[in-house]
Amino acid sequence: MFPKALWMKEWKHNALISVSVFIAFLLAYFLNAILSLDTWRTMAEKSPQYWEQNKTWQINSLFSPEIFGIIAIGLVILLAGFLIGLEKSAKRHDFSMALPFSRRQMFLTKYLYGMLTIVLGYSLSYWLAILIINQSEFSDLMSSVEVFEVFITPLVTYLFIFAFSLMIGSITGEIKSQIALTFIFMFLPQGLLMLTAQLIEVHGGNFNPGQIDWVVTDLFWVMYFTPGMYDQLSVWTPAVALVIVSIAGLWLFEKAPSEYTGDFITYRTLHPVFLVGIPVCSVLLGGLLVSSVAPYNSAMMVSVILYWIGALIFLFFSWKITKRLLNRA
Amino acid sequence: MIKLNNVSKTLDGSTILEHVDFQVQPGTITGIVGRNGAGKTTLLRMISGIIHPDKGAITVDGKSVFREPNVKQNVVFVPDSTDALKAYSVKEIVKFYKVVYPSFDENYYYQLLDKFNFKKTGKIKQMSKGQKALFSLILAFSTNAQYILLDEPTDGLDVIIKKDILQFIAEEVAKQDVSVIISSHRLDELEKMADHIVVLKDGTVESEVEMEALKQQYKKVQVAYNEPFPNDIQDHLDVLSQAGRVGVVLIKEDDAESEAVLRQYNPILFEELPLTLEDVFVAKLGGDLYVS
Repeated sequence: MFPKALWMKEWKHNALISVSVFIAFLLAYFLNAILSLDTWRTMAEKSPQYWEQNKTWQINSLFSPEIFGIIAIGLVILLAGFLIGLEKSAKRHDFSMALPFSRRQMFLTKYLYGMLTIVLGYSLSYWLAILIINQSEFSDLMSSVEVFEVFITPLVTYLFIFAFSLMIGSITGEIKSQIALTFIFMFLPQGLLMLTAQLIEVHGGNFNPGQIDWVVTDLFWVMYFTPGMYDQLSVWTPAVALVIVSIAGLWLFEKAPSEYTGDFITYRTLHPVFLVGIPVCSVLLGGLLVSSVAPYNSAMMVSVILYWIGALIFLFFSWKITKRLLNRA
Repeated sequence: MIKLNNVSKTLDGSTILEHVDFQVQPGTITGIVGRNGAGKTTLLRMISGIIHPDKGAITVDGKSVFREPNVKQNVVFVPDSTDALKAYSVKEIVKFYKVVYPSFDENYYYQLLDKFNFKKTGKIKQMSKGQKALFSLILAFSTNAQYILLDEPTDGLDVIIKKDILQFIAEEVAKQDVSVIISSHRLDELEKMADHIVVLKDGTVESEVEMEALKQQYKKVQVAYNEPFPNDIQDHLDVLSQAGRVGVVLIKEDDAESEAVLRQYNPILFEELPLTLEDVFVAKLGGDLYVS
């Protein structure tokens, strides 16, 4: 199922990005733990009262993604982009597809390669960070950390983001569209919610997210990197999403029409979706952006007029851009 | 044997290939000729299992390249671009090919590198365009695969390397029991080595010819007259070219009637010229296949 030749190929072309992911994880958790120890010592010595009040928050925030955690998310998406999109962009697609392996073997090798990179990099960094803290004078703080939950939730979310980007790579024809669409679709539910809210409110309505507030919690994937949010979230959400996008990614990769490699989207059946979806989202975004410049106390009509001016401007340009994106073959 | 049965492919609403049928016999060179856009590369990409046909079946030794991709251990596709190899060094690519193709002959690979004065170290991307093209052929033939598919192997190369490549292909086919499919828009290159020619025109197989049989069927005659070139000949025979009182005419080998027409105007010159594949296609297939 995982031929040695495919592992050799993936390593040859993706070693650099894999090592980068590994290093980003080490910096995000292990190095962060080392540096935090020093900060905590200074804090405990110079502001003991402040330290006592904040030490639980401090230990938990160690496992929130700061700059290197964010970089790790970006690199995980880039890894998926290198595994699928760059192969298409760099004219290696025909070479790979002509090899005596099934598409299923190809996808699963890429999938497992990325998963192992993430699991090994993240786990090593995380458990080294735990080890460092346990060996320090702050080991008693570990009792306020849900060690397994704090370990497994971000890991599953990293894996989900990787698998999600692989799935997007299976429908796109090159790396740029894969990366761009990964980011867009990752935040699409929240984006649409925000855009819809503005559309309703500008026109005098009252938007009440009510029953759909899970869109900005459960489906807002960056929340799963913040231990402070774990009481409101379940690890099963990214876990189930991981299974769904993995199966969908495999299916789409197996069926992907190679003849359109290099195009924005390889699946011609999805063109109408993008042809409508991009302009509609752009209309809403244009309306939101332009109506937001209306003075606070202005009449509703001013906001409405500005909204539709923005919407029409964005519609014009997005229509042109979408047509060009989809017809550039 | 590679067998294409009623293969059709449409891209963006345009029919690229329609009802394509042909077979490639073991140990032969098959030339696929056609103008740019005739569907040659699409056809090779389908045989290699890169793209699926919309209709029809492609089998290699009776097995589908899509359902049983293992069969591609005996099918090597050499695209017109060598970009896929540029990240590898001369040594690294051998390690990779040995794992992919169990029959890869490393000794033979290094012998061929010696023969063509290749360095045995360094990155493939450092080679010239011609060297890369030759190198990708060396790799392909070292796999000992039964079928090698070459997409425009001499496209954009200078005459010296082109000659080397064509000679190398012919020698390898003579030595090994390998079938080669070459796509090209150059009839003159293919006629020197191909046993079998498949002509693609507007996505369909316009004709299939066996080279030996073809050359025995026709002859090319140069004739010159004292009087202006007879209109009767222009009207009834395949005149390949005509300048003043001199013309070159294609006639069937055993066509005594046509020869009599040429002779009845008392030619001052009647000479048989070497026949080329291009002559036959220009005369018989409308003259628009050859694109230099």
